[in-house]
Amino acid sequence: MNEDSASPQIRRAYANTAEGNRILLTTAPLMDLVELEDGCCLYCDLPGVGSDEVELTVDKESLHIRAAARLTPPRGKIHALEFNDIVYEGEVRIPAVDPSRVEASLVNGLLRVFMPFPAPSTPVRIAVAPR
Amino acid sequence: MPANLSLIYGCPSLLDRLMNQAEQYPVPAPREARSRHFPPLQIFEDGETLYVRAAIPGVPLENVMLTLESGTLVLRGVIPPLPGRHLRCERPTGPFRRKISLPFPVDAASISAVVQRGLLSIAIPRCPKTVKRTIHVQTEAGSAS
Repeated sequence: MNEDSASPQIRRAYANTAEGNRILLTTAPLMDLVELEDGCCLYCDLPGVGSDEVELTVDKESLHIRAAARLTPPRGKIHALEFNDIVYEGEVRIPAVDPSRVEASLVNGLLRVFMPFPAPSTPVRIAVAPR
Repeated sequence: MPANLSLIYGCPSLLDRLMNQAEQYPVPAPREARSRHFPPLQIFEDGETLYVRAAIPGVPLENVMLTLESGTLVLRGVIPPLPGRHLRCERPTGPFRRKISLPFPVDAASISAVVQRGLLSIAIPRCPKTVKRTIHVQTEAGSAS
């Protein structure tokens, strides 16, 4: 993780990890992009991430996700460790949407981002001034 | 025999046709969660309790079933498919099952589970130690008297 470019949320999540200064595994989260009637919906698996530990940016062509999760077992003897502290970072190309009306929610480790299609443009009559 | 030049000269348009067809190919079907390694687990203990954590983002607790079968904890569940036309499809869907062999006898009545931030956390207390009890066997003469 490049700490210099990280947002305060990500830095805080990073500092909360077990040792604070070690390099965390960065992986692309699993994502589904679904087209609906009025827009597109992105579903992204972010297990262990709270809503204040995720950073979303959207532009005309893509949506970028960055998040961190503290997943180190808290105590005792470990029998199996198939996941651990992690930084999620991913980008997805999106169709033309209205970035100002994008809505996002994170419920039970599943991020849902709804991106409505832009309103259809209506033709505008232009008066031609006489010379 | 003259070479069929139309095939060579037709290459650009053939590539264009193939590219157009490629765009029309359907998105692969959702990956099934039926893998032996789904969901990923953490298993750890503190001496008195065994803790199991499973990463199941987006799966509500009512879609999860836990059973204890002769020293093995079985975790079953279903991830429902999403409606709509998929443009990208990476998240697993469908039924899943994982078996966890328990390292010690457990108190089945005291097992608890909670889902938070997409992590299912199961606490499995160790069975209380059995207290030795001596059973006196009476002789027939003793029981008759």
